[in-house]
Amino acid sequence: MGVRPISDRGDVDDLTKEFLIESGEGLDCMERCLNDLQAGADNGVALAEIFRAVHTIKGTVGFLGFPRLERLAHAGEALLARLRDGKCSINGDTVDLLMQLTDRFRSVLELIESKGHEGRREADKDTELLEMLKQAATATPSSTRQTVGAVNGREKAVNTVETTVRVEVEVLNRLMNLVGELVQTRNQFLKAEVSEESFTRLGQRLDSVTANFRETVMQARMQPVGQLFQRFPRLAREVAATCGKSVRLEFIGGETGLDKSLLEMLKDPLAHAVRNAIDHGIEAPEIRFPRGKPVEGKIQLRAFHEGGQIVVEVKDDGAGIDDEKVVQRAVERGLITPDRGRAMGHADAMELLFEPGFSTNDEVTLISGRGVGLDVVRENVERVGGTVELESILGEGTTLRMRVPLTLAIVPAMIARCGEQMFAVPHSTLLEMVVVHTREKAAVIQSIGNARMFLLRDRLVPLLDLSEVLGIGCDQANGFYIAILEAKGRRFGLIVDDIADPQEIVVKPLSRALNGLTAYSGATILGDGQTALILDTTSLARSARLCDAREHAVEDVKGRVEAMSPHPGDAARVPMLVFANHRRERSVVPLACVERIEKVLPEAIETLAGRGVMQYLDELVELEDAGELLQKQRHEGESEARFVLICRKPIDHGVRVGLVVRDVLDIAEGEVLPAISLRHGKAARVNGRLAIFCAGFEALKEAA
Amino acid sequence: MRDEMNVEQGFSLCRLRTGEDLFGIETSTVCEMLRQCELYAVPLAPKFIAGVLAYRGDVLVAVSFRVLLGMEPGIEAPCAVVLRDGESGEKFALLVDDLLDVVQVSGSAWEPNPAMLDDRRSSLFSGAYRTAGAPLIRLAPEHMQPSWLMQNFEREMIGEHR
Repeated sequence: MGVRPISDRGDVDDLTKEFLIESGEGLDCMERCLNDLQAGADNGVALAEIFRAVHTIKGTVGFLGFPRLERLAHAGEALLARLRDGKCSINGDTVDLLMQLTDRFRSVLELIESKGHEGRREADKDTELLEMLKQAATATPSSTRQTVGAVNGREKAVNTVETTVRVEVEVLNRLMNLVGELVQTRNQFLKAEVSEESFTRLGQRLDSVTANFRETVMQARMQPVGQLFQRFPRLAREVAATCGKSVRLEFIGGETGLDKSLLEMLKDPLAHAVRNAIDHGIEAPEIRFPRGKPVEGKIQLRAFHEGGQIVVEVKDDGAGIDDEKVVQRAVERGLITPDRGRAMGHADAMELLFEPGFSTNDEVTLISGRGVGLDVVRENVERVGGTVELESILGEGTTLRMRVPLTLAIVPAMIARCGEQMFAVPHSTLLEMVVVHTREKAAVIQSIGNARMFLLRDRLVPLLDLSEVLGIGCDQANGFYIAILEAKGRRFGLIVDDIADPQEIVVKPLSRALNGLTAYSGATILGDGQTALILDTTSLARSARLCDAREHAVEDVKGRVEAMSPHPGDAARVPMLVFANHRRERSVVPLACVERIEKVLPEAIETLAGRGVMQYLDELVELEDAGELLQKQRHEGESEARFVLICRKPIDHGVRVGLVVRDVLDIAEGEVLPAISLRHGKAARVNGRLAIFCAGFEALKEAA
Repeated sequence: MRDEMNVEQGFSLCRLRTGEDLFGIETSTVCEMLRQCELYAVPLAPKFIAGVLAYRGDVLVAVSFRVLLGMEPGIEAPCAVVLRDGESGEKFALLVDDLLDVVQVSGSAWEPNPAMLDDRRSSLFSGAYRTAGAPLIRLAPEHMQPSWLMQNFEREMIGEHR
């Protein structure tokens, strides 16, 4: 690998020190999670945290030259991957074994810290532990599947943030002058009478000094992105050596200023991106040469301002990503149906790469290949109010683009009241506010089982009530507000009692003791001196199972449909959407399956592989147009819009389809009737009239 | 460890009251004493965290001493002792019913915790000083720290519940 053992370097260098700190924190987290597992906590989240800790160690030790840690991490990860995928079960013995692994990691880390090497005695070979890990990983699968929601557990705790910042003397001098001015203004205030004319002038001066002060402090927090870029040449060199590739890093826009805390938070996502680019992106020299590319691959790290945000790009000139291979892998893994795969475009295929646990790499390497990465990158960047995009041209290369706000210290936010308390909702996740008066409540809020939905411009949006989520009182006698939020691409509504004027809030971190409370991302002190907690909308959405799109969509739809099914002997009624089908018959679908009612013009319909499709939320949705209503309409030159019901089917992996219907007639509770002599499936009785179930949506059980 | 304390050494203690008892906390561990704190609840937080309070531009987590003692959570605007969590390095507030004064106590007046004291109080108290009136119970600030409580107190509460 061409990496000198640390002992030869004399002492522990900065990179290793950082690794020791980060690994120590990762092991703390691992131990906590193992304790949680023993206490019967949610396997999914705990296993994902443990997996991430071990994976991080594995990803780093390779290029630092610690083969003993590498072997341990590799064996541990193999076991954890099987546990995660439900291929073997977790029990007391497995937890003990993982505890042993944690202890061994710690002892090796201690050796590195104190002696600069991993241990040279015979006892330091870990043969027995490695064998036990291997045996556990190949143990008989359990009948109980312990599926893990991959690595989308909350990643909050382990992030070493440097606590010092380099500030130019000139900025400090400016701050000192401003403090002087502030003191002067205060003294004048103390002497002035409220009635004096000068009082207004003093107020204006105070306002101006405060604004200047804030701006200068913000400037002091800004650090050049180049500081961050400088961490990567060594990482790139070592990873490239491990992969047998030759790579050159190029930096553009290193002088771009970014808030210190953001800089630290971008460190891990960027490291992931660079590792991925080398391991998956850049081709081996023997492949590059025949393709007419320089043998040495190029990775460009670029930072620039755009639209009030900072954009940081990692661009490689490698092989690019093969859409077809991505889609094929997604189909193999059951993430999408083959039909849906065929209809997918480039952007959709790129989105698949952000799915937890998704990897196109056939081989599990020491650097990557277990599908931990892009989803974590996205989650980390979204947590600081940013976004991630991926662009790739086959044969030419891939660009990972992260957009982050200029600062995290001050963010615009909507202030909401719930019960007696105030909460801040950052504008970055807020789409709109809707006021609901008590008299309108029944018309716009519908319940499906225990889930509430809000009808927003013909679209059903899932609703969360903040007072219920947090278990606090509410005051909604005269109506309430719904904040329409977006988290991880999913839209949902949050009910709050009232709202106050939006404010630019100064974000204060919450005590580490409250790290376990995922509902909050911090706190702030409002203008009137009150303290408000800042809501973490992504976590709120996740806690309500609104986030993890595809797999959970299937479970959600199935779960909701099952929840709606009347129990035997119970003639319960369930909400249904009644429409006129192509034969002008009354037909129904369970309302739980309906995401949105769209009015679509014929020209919005396209044909792919002989099937009608339309674009919906950046996704292609296949149309089910039994009577070829749209086609006939197009032939006849009619330009009138048609209703399309965007639904998720309870069968077929919950795939999203668009049902073309003649007319939407009603939304009402109906009763499922037994399939007696009907040749065409089940029927329902809604408002005293019969309606036939739309094919593929009959999963509801009949009432007795 | 505390039994090995130099009995000749005197201590400066901040006296405070919670319920009917008097407590003392070593002055050197105290960052600041606050009266009439305005407290904001943190829904879903562990029971011993009474909320957060604004303190010199920061937001501190407030630990309810009453809850630690197994008493009903306290009065509307309690007093607070600002301490530092040795593990996390963060400041936090310990909420008490009243702040009294600073006293000097003699090491020779110190008595260890009685053997029959329950486990929870044994960890919170660091012995007591004999006085003319009620004993002055010495607090163990390291066991009031949120980081310590997160690991130990919740478990203890669960254990008690079972």
